[in-house]
Amino acid sequence: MTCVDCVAGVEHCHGTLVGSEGCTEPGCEDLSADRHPLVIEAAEVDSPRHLVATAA
Amino acid sequence: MARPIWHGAINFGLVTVPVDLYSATEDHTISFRQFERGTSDRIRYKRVNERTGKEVAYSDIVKGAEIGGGEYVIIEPEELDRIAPGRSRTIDISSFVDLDEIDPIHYQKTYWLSPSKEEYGKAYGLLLQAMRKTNRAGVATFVMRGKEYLTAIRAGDDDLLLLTTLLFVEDIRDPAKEIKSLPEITTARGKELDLAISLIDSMVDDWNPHDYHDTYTQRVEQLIEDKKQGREVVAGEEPSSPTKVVDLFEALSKSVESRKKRRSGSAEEKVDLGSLSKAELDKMARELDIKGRSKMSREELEAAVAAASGARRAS
Ligand SMILES: [Zn+2]
Ligand SMILES: [Zn+2]
Repeated sequence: MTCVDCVAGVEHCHGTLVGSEGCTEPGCEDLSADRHPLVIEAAEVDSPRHLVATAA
Repeated sequence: MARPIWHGAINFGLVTVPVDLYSATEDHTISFRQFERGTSDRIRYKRVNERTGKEVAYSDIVKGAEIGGGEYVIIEPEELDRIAPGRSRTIDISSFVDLDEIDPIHYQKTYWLSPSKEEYGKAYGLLLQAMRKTNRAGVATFVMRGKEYLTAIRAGDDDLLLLTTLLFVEDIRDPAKEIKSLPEITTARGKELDLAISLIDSMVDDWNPHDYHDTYTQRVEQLIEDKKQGREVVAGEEPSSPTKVVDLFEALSKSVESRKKRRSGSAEEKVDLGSLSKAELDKMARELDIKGRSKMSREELEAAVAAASGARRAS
């Protein structure tokens, strides 16, 4: 499926923003919510169902 | 050059102006990476399928809304776009208000709006000048990334329209529900109130954001530099202790006195304009009400400030 934001040529990130902590996209520097279509709230991060933090 | 964060159009009566939205602000605090202590191993967040443990690509993710009992309805991005017909690409101005009427508690983030093509510049310029003349802000809503935003649009100093997202009333908490014990405000005693007011009066100044800098981030940068160079790390200053409640009157009197001393001392100092920064000169120019100061270079500001303060001294 093509990404609507890629088609529109607007600034966005394909990672999931994790609260204000970080992003799943390794090179992502700008952690503002408005450039992340996928955001997971900080409260949800405690729940291990969605994400795992691993030492790479 | 930044890329726009959104494309769309401002709807203002029967006029439509296609625009691009750019972030006007950024967070400059240092973002730390996470490591496991004692190793050089980075901590990374991975987006995985909870059953298979495999990473999931952006294009394979859909949103689900919980409907209770561990069940979800799955919604595709297009379905969200479809229920905002027409509106998903327009910023609809519904009214114009006095900006001072908006309580700052509503302010969130500010963006620049720029005409998306040169040919839209005329309509854009017209809207900007009309808003500047009336000193009014347009209240508008628009949808971005599946979320509706309430916004105030105003004419900025840089000949750009500024859009500030506002919190809806539903987003603002009720203090009675959140704060354990709300302060009980008893009528202040006349003398104490007068003193407190005169302390405020003695500290009245023009708002100049250039006077304030994030000194904590500067210290964090220094800490990083020191550690890099292997230098000793110096601890910060202790915070000042709060005033004991019984000393309120005395503390206020002393504060007013020390402010007065500071004021009379600084008035006698002769200022070397050549040593001042552009921001400092700009502040002086504002106090002297020098016209056209925002467009002046540092040198022009220095000359204008020197001339204006000289003239004031002479008169
Ligand atoms: Zn994309
Ligand atoms: Zn990201």
